[in-house]
Amino acid sequence: MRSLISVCAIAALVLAAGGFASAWVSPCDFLTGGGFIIRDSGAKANFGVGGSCKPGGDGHGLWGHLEYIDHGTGLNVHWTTITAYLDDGDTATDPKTHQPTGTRLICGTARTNQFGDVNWVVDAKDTGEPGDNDVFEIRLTQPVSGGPQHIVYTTEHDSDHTLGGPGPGGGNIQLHKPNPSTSGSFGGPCPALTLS
Amino acid sequence: MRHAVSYGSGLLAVAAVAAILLVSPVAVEAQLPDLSGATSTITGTLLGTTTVLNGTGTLVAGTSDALQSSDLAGSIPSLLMGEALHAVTIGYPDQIDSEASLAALALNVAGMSIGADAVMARALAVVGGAVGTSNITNLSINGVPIPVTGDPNQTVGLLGGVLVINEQQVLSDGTMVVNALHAIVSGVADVVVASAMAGLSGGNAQAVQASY
Repeated sequence: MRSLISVCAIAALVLAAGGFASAWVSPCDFLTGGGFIIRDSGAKANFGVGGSCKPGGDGHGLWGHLEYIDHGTGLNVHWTTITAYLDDGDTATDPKTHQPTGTRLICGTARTNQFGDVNWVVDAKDTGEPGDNDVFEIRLTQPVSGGPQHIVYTTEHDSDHTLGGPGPGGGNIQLHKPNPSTSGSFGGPCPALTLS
Repeated sequence: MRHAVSYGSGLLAVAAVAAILLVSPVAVEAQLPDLSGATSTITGTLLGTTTVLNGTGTLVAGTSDALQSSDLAGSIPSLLMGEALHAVTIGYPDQIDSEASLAALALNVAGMSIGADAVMARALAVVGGAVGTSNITNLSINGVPIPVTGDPNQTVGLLGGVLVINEQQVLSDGTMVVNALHAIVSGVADVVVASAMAGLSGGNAQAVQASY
């Protein structure tokens, strides 16, 4: 499975290219999902997530959210803003449901119970139905002395990022087609991808 | 699927009782859907208090907008706890997608403990039709695993009531309502966990709706 690192490299190129993201022909869409992953420790990590380029209209940046609890470490993450929504370029159509599939990166800020305020990026992939092979990865970062970001927590080195791990499932991630309210373009600032 | 629960003798006794309940036909109090499209309603007992956790509110059909609600955790004292509550409804000129989920469900009703690692309901309506699905992982009652068939409106008997799994109702206008879990115990509680609606009646999603 493609790691968040390689996806980050793609996203970093998109960000570095500035207006490049807005030149992509794919119109901005929505990604939503909920469920759990199983960390290498065996602990469950539960999540609910949403993202889009659509302006949130609630003073918290773009439309979306993130809730995350790692029962192995006791980490709780509650979103405060959505700052970026990025296309990984693998959008396709599920032949069974005729709904879109693909990977999106959602970035933002959050409050945590272990690290204080953090930047985060989630890599979420909809592989189609029933969702057993959908993917969720998360990285939290903080600036070093107000400068570059360093990772304070990540699941990207785990051996299995699919929902429910080796079990028969653990939720679902769904990519939704654009609607006329998604007037923005893929992009936005994502400090969690800019590491020291 | 892995289960972290180890079954002690006390739990085995509870499991035996639960197994009896499961194999005994129990009258279904919910009026189950007529998939031909006729109006269907849930007739759970009207109780004193109704609480909604993480509801999106209703999105009018044909509206191009997106509503959402989420929380790290949610609870109704003495009744329910869950984590990572999440609800969204997205509208298009020709489609509505609604979705609700929570994880680590712990529902205690009438002395019965209903649990699941993840619960999700989704409803998708397009011109000319609607579909609903539920994702439920590691459902259990009093620690006893409950196989989920995937069929709409699977029922499991509860003491004094019923648990409907992947409940699907089609309203008179064709709107699809999917309740991933619906526990009805007469005179005690009527609890829907993960509900998604999509159709001409609009879009709506709720992580939990409980009357008790």
